[in-house]
Amino acid sequence: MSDRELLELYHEEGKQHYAFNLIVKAYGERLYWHLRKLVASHDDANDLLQNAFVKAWDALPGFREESRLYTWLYRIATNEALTFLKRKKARAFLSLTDYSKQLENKLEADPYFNGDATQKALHKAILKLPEKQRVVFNMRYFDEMKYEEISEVLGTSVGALKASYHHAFQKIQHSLEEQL
Amino acid sequence: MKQILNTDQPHLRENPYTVPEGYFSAMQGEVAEKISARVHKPGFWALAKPQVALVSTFAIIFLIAFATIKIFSPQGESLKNEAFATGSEYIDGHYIESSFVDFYDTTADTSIRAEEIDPEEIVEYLSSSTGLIYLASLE
Repeated sequence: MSDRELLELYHEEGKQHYAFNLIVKAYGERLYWHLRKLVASHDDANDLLQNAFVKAWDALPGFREESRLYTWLYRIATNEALTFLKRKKARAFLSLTDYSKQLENKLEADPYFNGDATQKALHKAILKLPEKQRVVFNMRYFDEMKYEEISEVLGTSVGALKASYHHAFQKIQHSLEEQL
Repeated sequence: MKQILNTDQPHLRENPYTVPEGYFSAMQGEVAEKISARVHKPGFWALAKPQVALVSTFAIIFLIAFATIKIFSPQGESLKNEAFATGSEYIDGHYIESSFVDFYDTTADTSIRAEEIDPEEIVEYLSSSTGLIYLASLE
């Protein structure tokens, strides 16, 4: 079912919940993987995804279809993740352990990580990146999104995104050289 | 220097994360449960819209009615004249009141008697002056 059909169904009397469940079914998995790569932990990704969908449900009556439904959901989920990471980082600032180190430890102990040593090293390197660079790198490298699409989600210029991706790539390269 | 991270290693782009068995269907159920308890709150505009529409309708009807009466009523012109007349009367009255000069000075004239003449005196006067009556009948 296309975005247009989903939204038309949503606007039909008495079919809001049904239509929204179809939206969750259509985009839930993709959004989950996006969040999971940002926060590493399954539980955190699950919480963020559910919060993002609840916020999307609340905001859907005001959705003006200026962007695609998926882009809009992606933006909500990404903002949710960035807020979460900032909050965790601020809390970690008071503790002795660096938050990126905490994330690395989570990844090390994660029973739901099936990658090989190189993949683990790559994901550890990604978790060391500043939040926004991590978002840009993941969207470009894993989701293979165009810069224009990333720009639409993050509200950042294409030039700034290219620079951000370049910096992230260099940092990861450097980190992998150290690890492997 | 050989780049470790490059597109020649497609397996690096693969997703190494997994989820518990049946997670996605359970997640859909949890989200459905969460949103089922939430009712869409109508926004300010959604609440105000019918009221604004009602007020606007009344205002438009009133304006149309007022304009119709104003344009097509024949009393419109006479009302205007009446208003002018009332105004001019007021102005005139006020002018007269403020500028009236009593040239006869009635208040100071002692020759004007306020007391009335007794009718018996008039009859007595006429009966004694028959010559005057005769002269009057000649005309």
